[in-house]
Amino acid sequence: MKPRRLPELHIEGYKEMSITQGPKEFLKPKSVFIPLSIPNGVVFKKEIGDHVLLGEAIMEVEGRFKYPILSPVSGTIKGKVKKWHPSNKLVDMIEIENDFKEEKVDTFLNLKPDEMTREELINVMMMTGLVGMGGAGFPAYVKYSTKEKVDMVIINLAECEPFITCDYTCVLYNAQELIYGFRYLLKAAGCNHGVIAIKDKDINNIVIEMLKPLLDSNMEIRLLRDVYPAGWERYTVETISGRTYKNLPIEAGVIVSNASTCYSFAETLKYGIPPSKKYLTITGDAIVKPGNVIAKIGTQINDLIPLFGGIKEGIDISNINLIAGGPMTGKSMFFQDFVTTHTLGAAIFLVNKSKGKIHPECLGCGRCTDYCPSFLSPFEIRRELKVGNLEELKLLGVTKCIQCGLCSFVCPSRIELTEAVGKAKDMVLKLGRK
Amino acid sequence: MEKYLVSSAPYLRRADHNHTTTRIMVDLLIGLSPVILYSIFKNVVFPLIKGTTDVLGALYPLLTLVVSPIYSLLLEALCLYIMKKKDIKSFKDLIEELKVGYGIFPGLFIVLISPPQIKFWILLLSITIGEVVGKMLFGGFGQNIFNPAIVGRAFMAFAFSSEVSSSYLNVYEQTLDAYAGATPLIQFSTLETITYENAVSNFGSLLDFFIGSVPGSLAETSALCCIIGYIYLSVRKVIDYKVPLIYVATVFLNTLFIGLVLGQGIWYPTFNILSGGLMFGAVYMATEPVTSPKTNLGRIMNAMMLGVLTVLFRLVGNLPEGVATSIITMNIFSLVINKYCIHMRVDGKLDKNEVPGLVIFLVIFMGLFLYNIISFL
Repeated sequence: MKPRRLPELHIEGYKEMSITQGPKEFLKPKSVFIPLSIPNGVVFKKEIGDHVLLGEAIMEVEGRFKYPILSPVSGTIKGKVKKWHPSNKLVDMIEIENDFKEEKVDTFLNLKPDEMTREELINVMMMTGLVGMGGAGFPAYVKYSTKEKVDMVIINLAECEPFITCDYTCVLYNAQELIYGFRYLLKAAGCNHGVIAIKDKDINNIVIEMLKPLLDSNMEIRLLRDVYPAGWERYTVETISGRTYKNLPIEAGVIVSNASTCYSFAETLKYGIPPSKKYLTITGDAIVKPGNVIAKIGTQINDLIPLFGGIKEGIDISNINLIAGGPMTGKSMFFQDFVTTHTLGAAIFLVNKSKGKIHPECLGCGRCTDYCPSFLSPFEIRRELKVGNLEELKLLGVTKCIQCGLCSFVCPSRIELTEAVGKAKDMVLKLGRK
Repeated sequence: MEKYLVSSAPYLRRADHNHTTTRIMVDLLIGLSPVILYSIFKNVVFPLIKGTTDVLGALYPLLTLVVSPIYSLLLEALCLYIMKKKDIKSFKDLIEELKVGYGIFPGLFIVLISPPQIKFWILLLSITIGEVVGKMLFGGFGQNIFNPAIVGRAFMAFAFSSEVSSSYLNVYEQTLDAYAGATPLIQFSTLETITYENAVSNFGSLLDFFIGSVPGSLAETSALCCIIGYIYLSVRKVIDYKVPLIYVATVFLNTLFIGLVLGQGIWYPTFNILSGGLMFGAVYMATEPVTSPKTNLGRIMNAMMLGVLTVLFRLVGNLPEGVATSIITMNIFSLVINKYCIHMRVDGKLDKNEVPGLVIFLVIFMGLFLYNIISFL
C-alpha cells in the first residue's frame, strides 16, 4: 500500500553553532553511573565491591528481550546511589569507580567479521548489549534476527532535531568506521541494499562528499528534505522505500539503525571495544562555546560543561531550560549533574523566550491538525481531555502520538498541546492495561 | 545547587517568534484594510469631492467605523469584569485579558457589513447583541459557536428590516435617481422579468460591481478589494485559500446552471458572485477560524455547503442577502463536520461506519444544488 504523505515542516536548525570546533574528548571520568530504572527489572551479574573490566556484563535486562548492560570503564563497583536520569527523575544507579586502566574483556578481541555468519554477527550485537542510540533504545539484535525478508537497511543520519550535531560529528570524524559497520549490519540483516538517509542541507554536503568514495557497491546515499520530523523512523522508511507499515518497519522489509549505533558496532568488530562511549552535543544560546564531545556512557553532564566554557555570564540559571535530548522531544532538567545514557544525544542550554503569562484561548486555526505527522487533532484531544471522555480519546487515536512536539511548536496561542496529548495517551494506555 | 527552569517540551515555539494569535489578528486587520479604505473613499471622501451639501451625513460612516470597534472593546471589558471578578484584581489584569480577547473584531465586522447610513442606536444595539450574546455569553474568545458579527448583523436584519433596507444609500447615492433607494440585490429580488438591463444596467456595468461603486453595505461592495485582501491573507496563511475559492466557485456554478435554465448569459452567475456580500463573506467571514471546521476536508465540505445554501436563500428563498444566513446555518453543523472529519483523518481511510456520513453530505449537497436549479424550471 502506498503511504500517505506525512505532514512536515522546516524548522530552523541552529546546527552551525556546535560544529565550528572539532569534537572534544572526555573518556576518563572519575566514576560512571548505570541506571537501574528499567521497567522489566534486571538481574545482577556482579556484587558491590567486585572489579569489572570494560565490556563486562554488570547486569542483564529481564523481559521478552534479554540483553546485558556492560561496564563502560574498568574499575570497581562502589554501590547504589541516587542520581538524576535524563527523564528528570532521581533514580537508583550503580556507581563504578574508574581505575583508568581501560582493561577490556577479551571476548570481542580479534573478531574476523568477514568470516562470521549472520547468526554470529547478531550474537555479537546481543553480547555487547547494542541498543538503538537514536532515542528509542531498542535492542539491535532483536531487529536484525528477524525471520522476515529484509530488502533494505537504512542508516538514519537525518538528525532532524534542531541544535543536535552528535551524529553529524560522529560520521564526520569516523566515516570509514561507519561504512565498515554498515557493511556488517547489512550482513547481519541478510540484505544486499543499504541506504544512508541524510538531510539535503548545506552543512551536510561535506559529510556526503566524504562518504561517497567510501561506499560499497550495494550502498547508496539518499537525501531527505530538510524538514521535521524527517528522522522519525516512519518518515524515513516511507519516503525512502515508498512502502508503509503498521507497527514496525520490518513489515515493509526495512530495518533502520541510527548512525551512532552503526559506529558502535564497527568499534566492536574492528577494535574489540564494546559500546562504551558516545558523541554528545553540548550546545544552546546559553553556552559560551558550543560543541561536541565524545564521552563515556554514564558520565555526569556537569563534568562536561567546563570543556565548553561553561554558561554565559549574566544569564539567570532559573531562566534557562536545560534540555536532555533535542529541543522538540527532550525533557527539561532541574539540575546539571544528570547522567548520560546510551540514548542521550545532547544537553542543550536554551534561554527561555516565552513572553507574558496569559496566552489567548484556542483560535481554532487548525494548524496543530494540519502539521500532526500521526494525523491526530490535538485541539480536539485537549478538549476531550478536559471533559475526561476516555472512550472518545481512544477513537481520536491518542495512542498514535509520537510526542514530536509539532503541535505545540506551531500553536499561535502557545497552548501546551503536546503535553495534553501525552497525558491523554498515558490515560488511555493505563486503561488498556487494566 | 540552583535549579534550572523546568517546563514542557518543545522548547522551541513559533509563538515565541512572532507567529502568535495576536499577529494573526494584526494580519487580519491588514487584510481588511483595502475594504476599509475603499469604504471610506466611497462613502466619505467621494461624496465630499462631489460637493455634497450634507457634510455631516458624509462623515457619518467614518464616525461609525471609529466608534464601533471601541464600543465593542468596552463591552468586552465590562463583560470580562463581570465574568472574571475573581481573577481580575487590578486594571493591569484587565488589560492583559483584553489583549487576548480581540474585542474590537465583532464591532468592526458588524459595522463593515451594515448599511452606511444605519441609525446609530440600531448599530450599537446590534453590536451589543453580537458581542455579548454571540461571544461573551459563550465564554469569550475561542468559545463561541456562532460568528459574533453575524449574530449581531442577523439581529439587525430581522429586528429592523425596513430601517436596514432604507439605509443602504450613502449621501451621494441618495442624490442619484437611478438607484431608487435599493441595493442591486434588493432590486433583483423584486424583479418580475430578469434581464441584464433590469438587473445590472441601473448600476452601470459589471465592472462597477467588480470595483464596488454600487450601493451596498459599508465595506462589502468591492470585489476587487476583497480579492486583494484574500491574496494577502492567503499568503500570510491566516485563512485557508481553498475556502473562499470553493465557496465562490460553487455559487458561480450553481447560478450558471440557473442562468441557463432561465435563458440568461454568463452575466447572470457573474452578477451573483459580484453582488451583495458574497466576496466579503467568502474571504473574511466563511474563513473565521473559531466557528468553522478545522480539518482540511471539513473546510472544503463547509465551503461547498455555504455555496449551495447561499444560492438557496438568495435566489430560491428570495431573501435579498443569503451569505450571512448561510454562514450562521453552517456554524451549527461545524461541530458535527469537525468530529466526522477528525475521526476519518485518524486512520486515513473511509471506514464502513463513516460511509453514511459522506453519503448524507453528498446527498444534501447535490440535492440542494439540483433543487436550486429545478425550482427555476
